[in-house]
Amino acid sequence: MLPLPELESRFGQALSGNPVGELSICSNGLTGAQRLQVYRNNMQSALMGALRSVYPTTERLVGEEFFAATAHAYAKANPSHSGNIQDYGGTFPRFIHSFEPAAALPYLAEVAAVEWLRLETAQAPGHTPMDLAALAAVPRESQPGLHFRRQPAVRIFSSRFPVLTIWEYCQSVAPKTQLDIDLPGECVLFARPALDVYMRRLTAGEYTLLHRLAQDKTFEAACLEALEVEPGFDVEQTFAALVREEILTGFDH
Amino acid sequence: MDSRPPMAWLEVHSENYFAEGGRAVTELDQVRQDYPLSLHGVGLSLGSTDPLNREHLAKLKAAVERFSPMLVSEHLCWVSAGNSYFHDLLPLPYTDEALEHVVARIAEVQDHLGRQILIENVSSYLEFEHSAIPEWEFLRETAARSGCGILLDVNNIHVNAVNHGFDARHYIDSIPAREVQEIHLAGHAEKRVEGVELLIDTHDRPVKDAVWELYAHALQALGPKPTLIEWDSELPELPVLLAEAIKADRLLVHSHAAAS
Repeated sequence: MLPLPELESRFGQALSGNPVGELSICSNGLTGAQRLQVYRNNMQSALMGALRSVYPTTERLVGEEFFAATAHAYAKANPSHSGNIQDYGGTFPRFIHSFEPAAALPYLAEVAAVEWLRLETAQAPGHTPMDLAALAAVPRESQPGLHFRRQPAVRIFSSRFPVLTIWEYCQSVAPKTQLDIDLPGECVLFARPALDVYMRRLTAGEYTLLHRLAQDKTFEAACLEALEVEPGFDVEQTFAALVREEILTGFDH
Repeated sequence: MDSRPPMAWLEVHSENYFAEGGRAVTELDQVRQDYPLSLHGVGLSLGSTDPLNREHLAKLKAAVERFSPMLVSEHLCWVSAGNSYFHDLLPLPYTDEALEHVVARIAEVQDHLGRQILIENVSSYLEFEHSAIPEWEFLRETAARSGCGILLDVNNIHVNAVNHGFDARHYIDSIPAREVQEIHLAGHAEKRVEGVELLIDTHDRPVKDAVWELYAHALQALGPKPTLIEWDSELPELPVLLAEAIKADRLLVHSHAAAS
């Protein structure tokens, strides 16, 4: 009799398409292989469905058939490691990046990355806005040394393609104009002010500021770097906007 | 949900509400204020011989604490091996070895959550040669030994009765009524593979007549039980769903009347 651990291990291998030893499945009119195929189909359609629901814009860009082939190749090489199917597919953008048939669409992996970041933002913990009274109570000379915390849902992404422009273009039902993908690259901010994901473009300075703050640099050090990449960077105005948008939600000394 | 249809309670997949924030969990907080809730999990992999997934269990516990559901359920199956998840409800061999294993796992989960869970029988498309215990006995023993309740899926019983050739009514008659705390109904697909009929659990269409008949039998044998119709893909308009629910309600009320 096949011990349970061995049976499950072999069954799992068989579902993933690897040759296995005997599984002692009753034939009862159909072969074991035909019966296993029902489960393989179910598994594949679950994984395909998960990828389709996270990456609708990627699918829109390449069409159903190409997307299905890409997703199929990904699923074959990347088993799920979570009992929650919503966790599946985080490495799909990286896979697309090195997927030979998609090489002619270099921006595709980056649009996919936008879609995964949207999911992360959508599911992140909530936040409370910055305590402005506490901030006002910090002596002026101590302010440059503060470490600011970002809203937990915040993500930032720097792309060499106009990735948000492409994403927005794909959301329109019937785009009227042709999209020029030779536009400059974009930095994108993802946040969740309330229940829905919010995205906007970041200037190079804003991106650098948020990036450095996430690395726990002081406000002063982060601003200096922002000024280096964007000479006209307006510290005061940018900071006020980031607090108002609830992108920055707290601080430590 | 804005129209607040007159439903007794609601059931959701536990995993869909594992997020720490965002629209889904916030909306469920609101729904929870108007309706009792059942959390129905598909990913705990109780029958797997991998170590119990502590991260998954912790998220389930957080969801249970957040939403205070009236019922928490999982499936009598396995979904993972070697840390790969297959996202389908895979069948166990019905042996003493598997029974002992799954009973211990359910007990561990119940201890961790500090409450009883319900275990649901699954549809299956194959049987193992070394299965020595009939499915209904395996289910009954699982509940008796672990102290879990039973979520009896009448559609899955019908599907398996056709796929494996047993008497669905005998299955139901073998389940102790007091253990059954919920019933599931669902639609299934009829496939023909090499001339052999195979029923597949799909949750994407109305409940079949044969399953309604079996449900009526279940109500007679078990008494009235909270009943849920699972329809989670190819969703129709709300009135179609409500019509199915009303049909189940009529049978329930009828069985109430017959019992009193």
